[in-house]
Amino acid sequence: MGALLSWITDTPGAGSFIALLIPGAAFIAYVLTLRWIQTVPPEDQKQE
Amino acid sequence: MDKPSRESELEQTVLGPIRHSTMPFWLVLGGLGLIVLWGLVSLGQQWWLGLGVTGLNRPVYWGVYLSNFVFFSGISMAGTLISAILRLTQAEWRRPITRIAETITFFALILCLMQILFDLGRPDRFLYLFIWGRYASPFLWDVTAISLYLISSGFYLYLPMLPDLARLRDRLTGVPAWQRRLYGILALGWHGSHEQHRRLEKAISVMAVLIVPIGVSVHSVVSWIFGMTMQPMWHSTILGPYFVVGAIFSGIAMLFILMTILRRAWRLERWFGDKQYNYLGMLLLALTLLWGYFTFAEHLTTAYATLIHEAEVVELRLTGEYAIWFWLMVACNFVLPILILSWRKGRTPTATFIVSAAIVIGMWVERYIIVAPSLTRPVLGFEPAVYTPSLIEIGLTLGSLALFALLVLIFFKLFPIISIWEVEEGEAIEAVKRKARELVTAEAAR
Repeated sequence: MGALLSWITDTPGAGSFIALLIPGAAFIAYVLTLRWIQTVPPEDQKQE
Repeated sequence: MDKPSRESELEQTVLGPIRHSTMPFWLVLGGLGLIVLWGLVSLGQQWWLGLGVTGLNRPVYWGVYLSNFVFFSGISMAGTLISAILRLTQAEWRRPITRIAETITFFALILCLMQILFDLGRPDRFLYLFIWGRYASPFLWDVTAISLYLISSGFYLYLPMLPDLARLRDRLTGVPAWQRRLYGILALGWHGSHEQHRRLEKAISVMAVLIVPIGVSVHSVVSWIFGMTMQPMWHSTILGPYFVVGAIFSGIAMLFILMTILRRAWRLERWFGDKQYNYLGMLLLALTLLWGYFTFAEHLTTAYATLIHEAEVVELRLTGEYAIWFWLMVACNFVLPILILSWRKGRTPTATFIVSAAIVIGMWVERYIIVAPSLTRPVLGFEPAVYTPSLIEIGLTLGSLALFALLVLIFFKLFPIISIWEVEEGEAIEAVKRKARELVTAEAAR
């Protein structure tokens, strides 16, 4: 565990990966949320 | 969804500035553009000649740019607090002001990030963070927190705009075709069904919960950049909460400033009314006291302990070279707000505008005297130094402020300043409550 933590904190580039991963994951989640809202069929189509 | 054939008073007022602009609007836009141009020329000079054209030196390697960075990140707290917290607590009076608060957050963050590029001297080195970044460095925590906050606040601004964008797409006339096409694209096919509204409100509620810890994390991480160093008066655990309180404080003040200017310019008195000024004014007063408490606690503990390096910095701030700035900050952030906001008559648009302008100035000064004096008294091996910002730094600072105002103004030239559907929803809720009260009174009288 300690070795993994050291690798994460001290390896050049590993930190960059985390710095991109967290906002990147949030961005994907937000796009999926928009799709979830967008894909609701209009009420008149649902009745058909 | 029923479409009334005539526009309501709210629609007419809010859509008016999108349809046509007055001469003063273009004059303000032009004036701001000129200041931005000054900033751009300063930036060009700095990139061409190097950081030597600034007042930065060894050991004062951070100056006005870092003060601006902390200042803009603080301003960005407006949206988080006003929109998210008031939304979560179901404060009905928040409805007309959430859009403007969310907009401030988004654009202030963009300006905040730009300050890092100015401070780097060579902007291409920003990419190094994404190539060789090590997570042991607080700078990388900052990059993570601010990018997450920027993406999240952009999403949080965009989500509640969907129904309004569809309204603009369907009903707005008298604007160029490209503008209507833009609304069509951004509306994402919104049709306003019951299920779509349900999903939208659920997403907004989840985001309102998420954005608060994300916002707090940004201001904490910004403070930790200072707190992780061994510089006098930076290496302190109080800095995290002190920065968060200062951020909310300056965020509300900036909200008041923009609210009051746009209220007057675009005749929004009915929606930015007494209730908003009174309640937000009380909140600002509470934050004044909280800010005063943190400032007192910070200076009392360091002055009492008299550690050599810290005592020097305290002296610099209270009676030395930076005393004028320190006492100006106390007057702007504490004395004036208490004198004016403590009274009901002081929580009017004009009075709150004056107090807020003072607070925004005072909070910028606070950032400056956190950054500069500590570096002029280094702990390790350097002689005491002097830092005076150069004209280039002043140009870039004023250019940044002008760019912030310009971006907000252009945004509200294109999109409604008030969330129309949310205000209409609030009015419908109020009407139902009124009817229910009448029924209960009639029942009781029977």
